[in-house]
Amino acid sequence: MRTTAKFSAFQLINNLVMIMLAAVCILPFLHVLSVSLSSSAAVSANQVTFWPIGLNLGSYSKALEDTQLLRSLWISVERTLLSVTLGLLVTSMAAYVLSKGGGRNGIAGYKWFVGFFIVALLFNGGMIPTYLVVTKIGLYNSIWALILPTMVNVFNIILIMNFFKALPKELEEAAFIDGAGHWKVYLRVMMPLSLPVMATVGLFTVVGEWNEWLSGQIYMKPENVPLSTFLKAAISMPNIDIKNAEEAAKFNAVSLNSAQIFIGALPILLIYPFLQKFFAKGIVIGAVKE
Amino acid sequence: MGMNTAVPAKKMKLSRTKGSWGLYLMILPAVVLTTIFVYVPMSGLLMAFQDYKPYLGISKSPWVGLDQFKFLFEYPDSIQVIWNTLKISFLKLVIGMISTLGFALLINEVKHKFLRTSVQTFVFLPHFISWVVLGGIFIQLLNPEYGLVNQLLQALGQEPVFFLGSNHWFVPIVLLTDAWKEFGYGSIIYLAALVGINPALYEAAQIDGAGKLKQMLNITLPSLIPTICVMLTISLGGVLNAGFDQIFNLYNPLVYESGDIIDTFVYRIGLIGGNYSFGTAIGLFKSVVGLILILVGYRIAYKVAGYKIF
Repeated sequence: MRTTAKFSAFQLINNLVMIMLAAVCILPFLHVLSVSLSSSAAVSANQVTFWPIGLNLGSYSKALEDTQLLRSLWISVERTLLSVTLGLLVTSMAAYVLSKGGGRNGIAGYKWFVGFFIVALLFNGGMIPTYLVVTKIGLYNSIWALILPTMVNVFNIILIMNFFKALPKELEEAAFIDGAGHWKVYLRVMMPLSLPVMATVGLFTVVGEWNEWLSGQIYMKPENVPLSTFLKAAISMPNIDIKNAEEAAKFNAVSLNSAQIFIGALPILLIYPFLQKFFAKGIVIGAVKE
Repeated sequence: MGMNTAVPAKKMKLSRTKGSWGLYLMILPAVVLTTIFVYVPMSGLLMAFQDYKPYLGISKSPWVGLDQFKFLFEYPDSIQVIWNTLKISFLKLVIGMISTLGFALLINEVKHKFLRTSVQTFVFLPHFISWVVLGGIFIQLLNPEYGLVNQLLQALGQEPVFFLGSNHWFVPIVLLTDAWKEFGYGSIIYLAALVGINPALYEAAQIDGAGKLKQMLNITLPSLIPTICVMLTISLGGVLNAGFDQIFNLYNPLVYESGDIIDTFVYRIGLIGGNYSFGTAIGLFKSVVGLILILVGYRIAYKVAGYKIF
């Protein structure tokens, strides 16, 4: 049949185009990874494309020798874990309250609270007033400067609230009849049922916190910056001391920089398989973060 | 979000459910944090109408009315910056829309399931990687001495180009890398809309002898128009956001002329340069324009497609 032939020609070309696009997306990462694993001779001679030449881990051991990198790595881990747990707690509690509406089970002034959060969503003081507030209240050079200002995300509140609203009402009503109060219903009924939405919001928060670098740059002293900020500085001002010929053979400034870049991206690559499960839900968060 | 209308008015006056004080306690942390980090800074916007001096504070700094704004619209650098912002964000919008939509239409035609999910795994990845990392990668790839792109150019007999140091090339690179980062992930919203298309439409078209390409242009694309409208109108609100993270991680003093945007300008001149009032005035200008555009955008999106976020 004529049409069948047409189908397969189109489909063949289309499949090839798709494979090329996938390659275009992955090759830049592959190149930097290859450079980071190659010998300095191969890197200096521009021989490395998408496969390591003179394979060695010299750049990585040099990068990890840097105590500041390890310190920043730890600060990033700490900051991310605190932001995710506290952020989920604070936003889900607010979402629980707002999901009750203004009726008999809810709070007085419900509409006032909704307005309060929506105005905060639409308008803010901008970079400089926020900077002045954070430094004035004594958060300069404190890890809380990285955590508190962005902890309440109104979009996440809306997302979790909608999830709570969609849960069957019978469950919590039964709990209320049994004499449970709001705390108990929130902790024992709603939270266990909300793992999917918590995982989605949690994972996307992890990505956002891990990648964020500006607050580290403006609020922290250089020795207390998270990894993303450390990396930003290492890229703009490479700082390298090569001790001996043995080291010089294994890495140079470019391969060391590549190793640092790859270490910075590694945690995201590790959680990427989990993230994939939440793409469809995450678009709601992703689309509004911009 | 509305009152529970099923509850009769009389019942509503009865006392609230036991432990409703607990509800106030639960919402308190979010309210306190939002007050400190959103509302208090909003009051700091008053600085835009002052000549703010850190040692005097907002209460004692002299008021200058609209002088900062006058300066903003007369200072050649800031006019250049506003123009750069509008240009970059408009072009990003157009290129992003075309690349995302094009990819969604084409990946939708891939019937081989393994190929489809593998391709998606790869093209979604850049979305999740920070601009710090990507900046590092692209600075390397585009380096005039050892960058892979320039090696390729030289192999083809061309002169190497310092892409990120040239006002001619900087904006195209920004546009290209932005599209590269987001075309895959952005397609999700269109793919979700494609699921809702009635398969009978394709069957009828097939019987009429329409090929794949015709089906794509005459069935798939038209059914995406509401989603396209929503995405376009929502992006309206971000028209003064040309992408701080990306530009900050790619630019350098050589390309301030073409690549400096409102946010990088506020950071450099306002925050680092200590011109707090001037920086705040630009920020306020940007926020107000952004707010108006968001409200207009949501209004249009609601009218066109019944889209509602709250």
